[in-house]
Amino acid sequence: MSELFKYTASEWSAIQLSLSVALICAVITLPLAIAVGWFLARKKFFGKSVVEGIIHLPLVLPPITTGYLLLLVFGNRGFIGKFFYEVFGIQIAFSFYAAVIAAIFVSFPLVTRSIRLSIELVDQKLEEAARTLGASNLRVFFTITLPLALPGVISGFILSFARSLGEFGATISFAGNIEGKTQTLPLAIFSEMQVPGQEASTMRLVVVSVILSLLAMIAAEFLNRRVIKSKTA
Amino acid sequence: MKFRHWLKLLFMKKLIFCFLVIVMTFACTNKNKSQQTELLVFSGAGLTNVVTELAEIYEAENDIDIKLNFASSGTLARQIEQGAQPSVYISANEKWVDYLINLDLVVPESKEKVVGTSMAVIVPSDSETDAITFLDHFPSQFKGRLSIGDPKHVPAGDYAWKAIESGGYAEALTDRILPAKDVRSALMVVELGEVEMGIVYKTDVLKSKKVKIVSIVPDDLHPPIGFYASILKNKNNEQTKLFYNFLTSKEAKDIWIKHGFNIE
Repeated sequence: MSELFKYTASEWSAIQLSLSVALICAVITLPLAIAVGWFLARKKFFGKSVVEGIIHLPLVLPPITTGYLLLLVFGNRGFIGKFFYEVFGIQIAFSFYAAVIAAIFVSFPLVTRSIRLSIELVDQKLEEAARTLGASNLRVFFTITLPLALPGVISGFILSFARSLGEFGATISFAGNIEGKTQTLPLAIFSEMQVPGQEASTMRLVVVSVILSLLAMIAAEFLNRRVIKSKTA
Repeated sequence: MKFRHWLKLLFMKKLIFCFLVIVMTFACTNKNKSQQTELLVFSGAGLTNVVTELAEIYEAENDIDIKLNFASSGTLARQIEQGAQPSVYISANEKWVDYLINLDLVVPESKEKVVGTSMAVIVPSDSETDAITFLDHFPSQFKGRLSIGDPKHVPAGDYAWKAIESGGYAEALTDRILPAKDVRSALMVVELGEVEMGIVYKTDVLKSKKVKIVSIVPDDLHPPIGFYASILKNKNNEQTKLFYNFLTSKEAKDIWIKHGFNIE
């Protein structure tokens, strides 16, 4: 039983790495998703359904396909990866950045969806009223639209955090499985599962994984309730 | 309005009926298929091409359906430990067969070395490097990481790491390894040009036009490489033995050699 609580250094590093990848991913994804979510909720333009389809693609693509495509684009020979490699000497694939990029791509549609839906629910008459009182578009957005859409924004943030914690397929093909660098929690669990006779270690990581995901969901629920309360009060 | 409603209902009924017919057809054909004998073979990823070809030949000559599962030998051993039921298991080292023998899952007498191969240092085809000597400051021959199988469960990675240790490069390379989930993934990373060098089986390279061999790792730097076939206890029947014997038959020998493996 005591074996269940003896975390090794590499297991700790996998846990820390997962948390930092998830946090950085959620922080980067949020503003992008707010911008795109607002755009999709409020604007009509030619080819909108195609754009929506592309944005939502990682949601339905097998993550390993997403990872392979990322590798083709951001790899040393891909058109973006080549630029970074030759100009700055930065190798994106199989690095910490790759783990973050994979997480961003996979969680982006989820966050955008959540934010877009809550922006669509904001009463546009309120925005117009603010505008007639002389508020600029930017001011309307930050003082009317965004606060009213806050529940969606918060749940989007937590969704992106939780989805990144669980990201596996795109990460293993694009970021690899390097201990202490790109080996996040799910990858560490996968590695332990491959090696016969490592049940205790697998179980330790699984316990952490379940607890972290559960905490994220509870936090989302808690924040959501607070927002609703403060609004009705 | 009422008529249309009725029509809709009729259409729905037809749709459901069609669906049922399709499902039933599939269910029935599946039943017929399972009457044909099936043989499940688990094999280390390094044998992907050769075992696929062997299975095709065997299928053509016998009325049997061979299903193949390729992954790292450690992964397969773990799957068998957890209840997977192949008839034949081919591992790229002795270790994982012995592991299953200890768990009483494999017939101990069936463990047999089928073929061997060597480890090769590879680079992308368009690389300027043409030939290197493994024992001549290997870590300084490339920048960045070295692609090998994950030594924990991929035998090819284990052999590669043992050679690195014997060469005295362990300290210099310990933070420069890019571990892959099986030997073919290690090969793919070099094919894509993501790393400058990798160490895989010499026999993996024969099929790939995107990489070239720049050095063969001296065989005395790692334990002898052997692919071991074995029979699972639960599947120790005539069908299994026939295929198992086929792997070491004269006919199969030519195929193994064609794919670059050595037979002792």
